[in-house]
Amino acid sequence: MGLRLLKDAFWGAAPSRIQSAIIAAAIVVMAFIPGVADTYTPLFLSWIMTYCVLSISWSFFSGKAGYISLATASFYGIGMYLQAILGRQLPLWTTMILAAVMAFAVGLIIGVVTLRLRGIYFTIFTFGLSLFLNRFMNWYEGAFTRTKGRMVKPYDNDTVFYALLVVFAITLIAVIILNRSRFGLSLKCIGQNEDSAQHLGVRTTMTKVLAFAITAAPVGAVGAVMSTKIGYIDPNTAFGLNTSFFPVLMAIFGGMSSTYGPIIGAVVFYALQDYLLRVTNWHMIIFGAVMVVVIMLLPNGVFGVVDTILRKRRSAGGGAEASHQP
Amino acid sequence: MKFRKIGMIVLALLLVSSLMLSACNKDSGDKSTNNDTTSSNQQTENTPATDNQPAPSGDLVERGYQKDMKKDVITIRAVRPLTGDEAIFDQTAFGPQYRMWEDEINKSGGLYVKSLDRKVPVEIKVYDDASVMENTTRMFEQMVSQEKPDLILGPEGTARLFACAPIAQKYDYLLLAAEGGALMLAEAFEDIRADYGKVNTFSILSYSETQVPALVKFLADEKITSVYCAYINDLHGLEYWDATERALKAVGVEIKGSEPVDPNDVLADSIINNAKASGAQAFLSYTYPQQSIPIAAAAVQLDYNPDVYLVGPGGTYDFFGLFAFGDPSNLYLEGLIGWGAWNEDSSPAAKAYSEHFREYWINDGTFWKDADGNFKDSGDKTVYQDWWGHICYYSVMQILQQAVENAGELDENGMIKQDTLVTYIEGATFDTVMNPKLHFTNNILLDDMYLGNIGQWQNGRVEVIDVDDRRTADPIVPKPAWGK
Amino acid sequence: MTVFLLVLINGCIVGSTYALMAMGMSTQYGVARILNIAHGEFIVLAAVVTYALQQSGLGLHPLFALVLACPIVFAISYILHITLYRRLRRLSPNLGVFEGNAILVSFGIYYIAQNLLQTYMGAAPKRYPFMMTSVNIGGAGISAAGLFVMLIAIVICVLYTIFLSRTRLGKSIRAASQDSQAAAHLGVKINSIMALCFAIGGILAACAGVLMSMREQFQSTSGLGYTTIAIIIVVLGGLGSVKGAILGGFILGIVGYTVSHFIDSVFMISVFYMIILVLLIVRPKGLLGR
Repeated sequence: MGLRLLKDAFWGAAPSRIQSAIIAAAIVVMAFIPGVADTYTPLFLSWIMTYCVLSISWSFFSGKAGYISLATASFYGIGMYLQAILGRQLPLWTTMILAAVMAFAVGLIIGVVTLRLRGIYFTIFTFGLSLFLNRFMNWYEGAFTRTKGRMVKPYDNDTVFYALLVVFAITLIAVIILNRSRFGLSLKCIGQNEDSAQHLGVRTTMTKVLAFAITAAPVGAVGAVMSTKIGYIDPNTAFGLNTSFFPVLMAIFGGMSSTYGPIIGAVVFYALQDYLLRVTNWHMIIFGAVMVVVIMLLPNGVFGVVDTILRKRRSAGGGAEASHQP
Repeated sequence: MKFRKIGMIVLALLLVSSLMLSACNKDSGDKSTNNDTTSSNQQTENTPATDNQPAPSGDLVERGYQKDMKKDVITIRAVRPLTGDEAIFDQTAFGPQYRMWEDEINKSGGLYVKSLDRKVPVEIKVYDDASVMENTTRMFEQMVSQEKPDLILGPEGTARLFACAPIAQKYDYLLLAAEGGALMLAEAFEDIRADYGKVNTFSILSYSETQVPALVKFLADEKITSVYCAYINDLHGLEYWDATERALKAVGVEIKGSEPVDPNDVLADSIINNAKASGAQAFLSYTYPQQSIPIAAAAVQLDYNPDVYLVGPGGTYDFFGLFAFGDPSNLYLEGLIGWGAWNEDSSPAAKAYSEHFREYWINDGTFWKDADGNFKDSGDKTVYQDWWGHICYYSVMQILQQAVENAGELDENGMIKQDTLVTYIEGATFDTVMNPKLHFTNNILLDDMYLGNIGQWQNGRVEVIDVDDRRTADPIVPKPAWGK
Repeated sequence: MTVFLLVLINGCIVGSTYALMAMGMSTQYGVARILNIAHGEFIVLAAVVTYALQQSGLGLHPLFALVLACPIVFAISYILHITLYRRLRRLSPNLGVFEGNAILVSFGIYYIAQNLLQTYMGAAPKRYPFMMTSVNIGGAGISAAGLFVMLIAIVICVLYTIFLSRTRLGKSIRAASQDSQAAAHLGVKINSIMALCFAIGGILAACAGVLMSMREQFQSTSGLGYTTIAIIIVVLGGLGSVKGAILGGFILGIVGYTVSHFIDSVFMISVFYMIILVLLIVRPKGLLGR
């Protein structure tokens, strides 16, 4: 019963009004945190929100359409470099929007270019793209600008926190709206069977490309914001492999079929990483083991597990709860 | 039904707010413990509580203020890469120094704190950033804002130093950097100075400004007329090569060619073939050991032996001969030139330090013995002497120690006051292993603080070959054939 | 002419180890459908075994390490497949999902393996001296160790292709890689073939590691670099095609050495990725892909 309540409140596949109310309330509550907490807490929450945005974006496209993208680091790094280059002249909100637009544009180009690629080819392409941008920037900086890395103009933790809160809220609202729309449904159709989706009249190409580009935008924006908290950007920092892989694992852990699964995954994984880094020397080994276990045992994420338990209970309880089913 | 929905909203709101509160509580909890220690201090003090307010420090210390204050341990913290790509720097460079220092200090009863007039044991703990930059800055900020240790140690490398210096400044912490130093750092310091009026970060390692002129002078002195350079494609390589190129052009040395080297993928044969084809008299390999070792090995295989062969960072490490050619005696490297340098003839203090280091690490072979599991087991149990950086890194610990000994003072929370230390380090002269009269100029060291800038392997040891009175042996130019 | 010879021979030397690295990955993907991100870690593991053997003072030829490294990596790979990937395959609803999940699992294994290696061997680069001379071929000085490595690598490539085309086991592997369901109908024990192929890929990684350690230095974090090179080659040659991997390896080696010789090694890596990106757009099947 309690479990069901919790599930309804947080993990419903299609967010209900209650859930939306809760999220709205949570965002409002979070807006007051910088006033009461110390200076570090907003920074920590900013990082968590960063990964929330990354994994929500990832799961909206890849989770639905069934294309595993490892291009997150590319868009993230593009945002970071934009901030590093323009950050001293322009205010943060301008660079954020510019980064989002830039990431959208690049996403659009990549999407158009990779139209023909399916399955593992798409994954390899996106994986190679992040590495290419990394190596290319390395070469470019060495050959032309004759510097390696750039100092980024710092902002205080509260500003960064609010900037991220805005991006987080917008991303979440956008995903909720898109999920309910025809667009979200088309994307889901593509994920189930692309060919039959096409037969059903779904404009698969446009849907895929647009979805890919849309999910790139918030990634670019958070890249721009968080670069100010790293302070010094070089290609290996901006286009790191972890940025591509972590959102995937977070989304899988939380459960991709629900809107809030990726958030849960991001919070748990980031907190776990932070905890392990602090307490043990074997953190990467443990972290790797957790990755393996998550994918082996929780292919549908935490949400999937809860769902399974509920279904079992329901069948055991003889449909006592059936009346609440939509 | 409706009732249940409202109930659920309330429940969820409670859940969320309790989560938020627990996140915030961490900080308030810290604050309250700090207050507790302060109040207990006040109770044990005999002097009036009003003296607790800030007052001229020298005055307080003379009156024996704080002597009764409670201080069980001096906490020293750092965020450094213990795993991943960058772990090698902690394992070979600064790591052996601060670990040896911690052991020594605690064996002698602790670190003397001026205002307490007694020794307090130290405790070094290093957090691992897993070689990921976002972890470095985040954990660094958590360290200085939440954990609030007494002292902090520098992060690894120039890039991390760039990232952490503004944070240390924001929370007003003294940051003595070990590895890392660059021309750009001096500019970054000026930015910080413009914002805060002072700079809390001090950089100790030599960089292009001091080393490149020494090299160019040496090349001119030995009548070298042409060079070829392979430089690592990062901050270090670009800065050093650009500085060298400018300086060489100014003295009329011909540059036969130069190429960047990728940090991960080196085709050493191609680099050596290009250098060979250029016919340059001097080959400069401005690279790290990961690249220098295959390049040097290729030079031997392809029988490339220029008059001057310089290896960048790591060339004056004792492990270079072993890792590159399986020769622990380093006799194989005869005539090879590297950055640095110093040796046991440089000064009596340097000799004493070197012998001590060898006795502590190499003879005992007890590296990574840390019992509480804070440090990684390196696998390779041997620690090698570095005839460039090690003496600088150990000096960092000595500067820290002497600053606390001469100006250490606790604030109202029982933590070591950082501003006093910064002010002291800015003006004071330190007796360290690298220089008995070491002092900072605008937060960096000038050339005359170092024991040498370039060194050459001669008979299995590194000799300083700067063209001035720091020279410990005449250079061997042209370089003898490999292994001869 | 000399420059041409220099570039060609050195490119082939580089390419021969590339080919070995990629052949293993190609075998693993071809039948077991696992794009193994931890592939490079096995290469490093074999190199570490060779290094340890050289340091032991027994005075053995580094090639002897094959006897030790191959069974170790074979066993580890085999166990990994029957414990993790087989189960993962059973759990996954379709092949596409399995391929995606397998990449992620191998990424976790990469983390574990890399850090275990670092705990064992430290972070410092390792290398042992081997044939420190050069051979003059038409005026171009070529490193003797490189030539030796190339020779052995080519022998391994030839032996492996013969194994695939002539032996019974090799034929069933090829059948399984072309159509696993049809092969199963024809009596190929598909599950054990998959595990075996994954382990054979491990053996090829071990060979690559032993040979690579003879002419290059390595460290605990080198693994991912080898993996990405292998991925590039596997895509270039055609996913799952062993002959393609050999061809792709040599092509990439020659291209890489040419770029490194005439431009520089930093640009070389960019060129590698450019090749794979363009190739995926123009001809995703690769050179010899089906």
